[in-house]
Amino acid sequence: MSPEGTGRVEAGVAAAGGAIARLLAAAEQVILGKPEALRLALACLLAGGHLLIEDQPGVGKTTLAHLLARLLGLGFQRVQFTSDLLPADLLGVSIFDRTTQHFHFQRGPIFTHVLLADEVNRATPRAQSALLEAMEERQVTIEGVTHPLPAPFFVIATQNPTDQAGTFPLPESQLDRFLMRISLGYPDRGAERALLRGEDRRALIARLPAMMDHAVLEALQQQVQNVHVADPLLAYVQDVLAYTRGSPRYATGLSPRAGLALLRAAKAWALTGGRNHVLPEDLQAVLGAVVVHRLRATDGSHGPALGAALREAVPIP
Amino acid sequence: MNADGLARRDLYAVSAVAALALAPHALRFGPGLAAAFGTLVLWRLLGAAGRLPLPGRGRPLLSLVKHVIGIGTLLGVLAVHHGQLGRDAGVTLLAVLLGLKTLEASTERDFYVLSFIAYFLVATNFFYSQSMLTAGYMTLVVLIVTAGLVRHTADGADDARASFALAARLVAQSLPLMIIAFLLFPRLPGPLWGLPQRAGGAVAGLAEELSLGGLTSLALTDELAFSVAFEGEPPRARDLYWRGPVLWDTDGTTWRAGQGARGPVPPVIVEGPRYRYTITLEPSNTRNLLLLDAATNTGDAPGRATADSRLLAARPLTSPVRYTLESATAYRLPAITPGQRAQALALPPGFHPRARAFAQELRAASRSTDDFVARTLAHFHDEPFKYSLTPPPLTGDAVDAFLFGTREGFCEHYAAAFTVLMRAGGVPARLVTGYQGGEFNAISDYFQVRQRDAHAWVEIYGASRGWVRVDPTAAVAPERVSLGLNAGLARNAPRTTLDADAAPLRVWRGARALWDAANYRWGQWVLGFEAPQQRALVASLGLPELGRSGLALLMIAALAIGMAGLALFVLRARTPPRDRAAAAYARFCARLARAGLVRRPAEGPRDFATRVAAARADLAAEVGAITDLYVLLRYADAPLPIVRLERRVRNFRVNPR
Repeated sequence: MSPEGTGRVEAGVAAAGGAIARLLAAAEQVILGKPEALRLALACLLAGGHLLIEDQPGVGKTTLAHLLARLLGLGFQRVQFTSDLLPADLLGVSIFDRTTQHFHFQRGPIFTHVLLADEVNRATPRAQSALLEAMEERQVTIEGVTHPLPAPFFVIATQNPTDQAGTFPLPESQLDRFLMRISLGYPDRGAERALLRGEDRRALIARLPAMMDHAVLEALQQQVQNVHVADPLLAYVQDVLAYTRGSPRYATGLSPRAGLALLRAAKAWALTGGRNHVLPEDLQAVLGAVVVHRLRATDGSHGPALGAALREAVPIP
Repeated sequence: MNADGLARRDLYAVSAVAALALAPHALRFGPGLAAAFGTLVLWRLLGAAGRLPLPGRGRPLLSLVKHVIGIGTLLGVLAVHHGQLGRDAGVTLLAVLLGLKTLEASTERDFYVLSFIAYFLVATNFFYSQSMLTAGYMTLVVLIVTAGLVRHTADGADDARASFALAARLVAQSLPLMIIAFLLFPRLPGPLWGLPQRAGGAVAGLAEELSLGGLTSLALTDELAFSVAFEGEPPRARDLYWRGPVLWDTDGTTWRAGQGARGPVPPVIVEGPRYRYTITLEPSNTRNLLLLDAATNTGDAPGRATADSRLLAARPLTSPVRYTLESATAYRLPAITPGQRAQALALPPGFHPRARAFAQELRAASRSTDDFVARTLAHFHDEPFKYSLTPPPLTGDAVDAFLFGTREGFCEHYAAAFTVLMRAGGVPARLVTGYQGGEFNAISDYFQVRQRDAHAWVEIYGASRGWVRVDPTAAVAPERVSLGLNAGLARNAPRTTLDADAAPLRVWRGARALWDAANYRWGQWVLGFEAPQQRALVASLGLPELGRSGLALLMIAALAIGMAGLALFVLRARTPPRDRAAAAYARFCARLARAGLVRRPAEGPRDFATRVAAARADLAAEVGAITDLYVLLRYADAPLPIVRLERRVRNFRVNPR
């Protein structure tokens, strides 16, 4: 690459970093005390992945999804998953139009940019797989007709802790479709106090201006692809994969897809930090969110502890 | 025959290596050994080239020849060495068997067998010589054998240089283990292989007896007798009289020690400074422990003092010994026993009639004993006596022939004749042999005394002063005593054509001094590292005194630890840092680790820099700069010069707090 080319990329990266930083700063005014979760969610979106939020009800999952859609200037739909939800309720149905004597496809709520699939584990596996297929394929096929989903398409699924009654836990193979799984957790005391004192979050979001649009977002997603990953970091990713496959601490190791996901997430994370190259720290920052839901520890541990243990176990080459 | 399993290249290599390992032996054993080995190897090589049939399957006659050679050599060697398979016999057998093995070598396995026999041959050289040169040469041969094995093992890799490099690395990696084994291997008393009985004084140094002529051969050898290191200022060269055998008895031709050594050890009255010094004595196969006249404290010398003020070891010395003692060069030895007085006056009846008559005449004319001594010395000085290492042969009564006939001789002639004159004049006298002077090596600050420094002088007894040293040689050639042997000879000989101060000569002398100094250290530290030094080492480690088996266990434990360390080192070296940036960063982290700031293996460089900056604000700027450079070079593949990082790391210092 010529020096000017490098300079242009770096200027672009700096601009992207600045825009992202401003966006995150605005988001932090709404979701208090969760800058890391916000940045992970944004990185997930920039990487073109889908996000699974596993948490107690009422900690701000819906607010987060709504907020991101708003700030990014994207369309937003929310679907409450219940045990009687049918795939058609999500994807849409073909209705016979008497005036034209033709079937007319009535689009379901999935045809949006940001879809909040609330309490995804309360729906039956049939409805779940309809969502997950659409997530993977980014299109919906009904009665032989393929309908592409809008781009960007970003699913934020929330899930109650699986030990709650009346749930259908997502199978591992489907969990793999989510680039990241995060949890928000309870806010700390100061943040909660501010939350209690402040006005309604929904009203706050409604007043926020959009800080980006489709075109900017797509350009950012394109930039993520171009973030540089040096050879030693590929080795690092491989070491992590090899470790999970060899260590008796895990029932199953990470798949090659998990490795790709890790790289993609790390690239997006680097870009949110205003860099066009990945550092070991970037990989570590996204490691827990990317791999924990794809791993099953033999000792039953899960969540952040599992991610931290893996991070410390693999030396940086 | 070329379809055999042994590549011709390997055959050449192993033959050459065997010849190299055998070369020093061939020099020792003469051409017979080399010829036998060479013939067998040549046969094999010609066979490989298809010029000669080789023994083997389908050639029963040649196989028979091979077996006859093998059995014949064994029987021959046994016959020559009277059935005892000692050192020489073993080496001879090994050499011939190596030749035979080369002759029949046809498989891969044979190559390995030959290589390992070559290793063993290397070891056998140390039965004969343990000099620095031998050690260096043998290291080279070990390197070559190893390189041959490496090259053979590396399939297809035909790179001799790479093979040598790997072999050198292997040898270097084995060095720590070698040092452990050297330091801790239990030492056996005496040599493993008995030294051959050496004849007389030629090599062995001073004999217990002296007949005129014996010292000549000695004076001409350059072999080292002993080295001396003084603690502090050494005495003057003219005072360096190294005491060896004291000879009391004469039968007219030969002088012997006699009974003079028996009796109580006499006291020494010191009249000047004392000197402490350490002598490293080469093996002489005699019991003489040399000392500087006169010893005031025999220190840790492995022997006992005698009535004639010398030191005797319990048994002949077959390996180098080192001892520290104390002497004074200004002293008096006042004691004499009646028995010693009788011996110091005895002359064999019927010998030296002219010498006796001359002495009695001179004594009668003298006012005192001192005057008699002075007149006798003056006689040597004034009459045309000559100092020479190649005097004409003496016929008839040796002393009379020398004194009144040839008048040409060296220290031994003058000392013997002077003793006879003294005794004839009624003055108790004894003949002392030893060494005089020595060559100072300024590089290592020690003296080397060689066999050519051998000397003989006389001690006479006077009632007022006790035993007094008189050196009649000094009356003839005073330079011999003050400047050394060459100066003494130069008095008679024409000057050499080459100017003594010419530059090439100076360079040569400097190089020799350097070589001598290295040899001295080699002797002190390597060959001289015997059981006492080993005990001192173990004690300095804070361990209790260990027996031989304890030492062996300690060595095994140390070797195990050493090997484990080596294995760790090798395993770590196998995962090399991927590039120079990583290597530089590893050095940087090592420096911080020494200051207690250890980077966890899974800690990213930026995280680490943040942590360091929090712990040590004084380092924050430099650590940040180095980390940024490293990150850019390693992870951003930034087109920055790598030396920038390397220079910063090199200059990076962590000041202790």
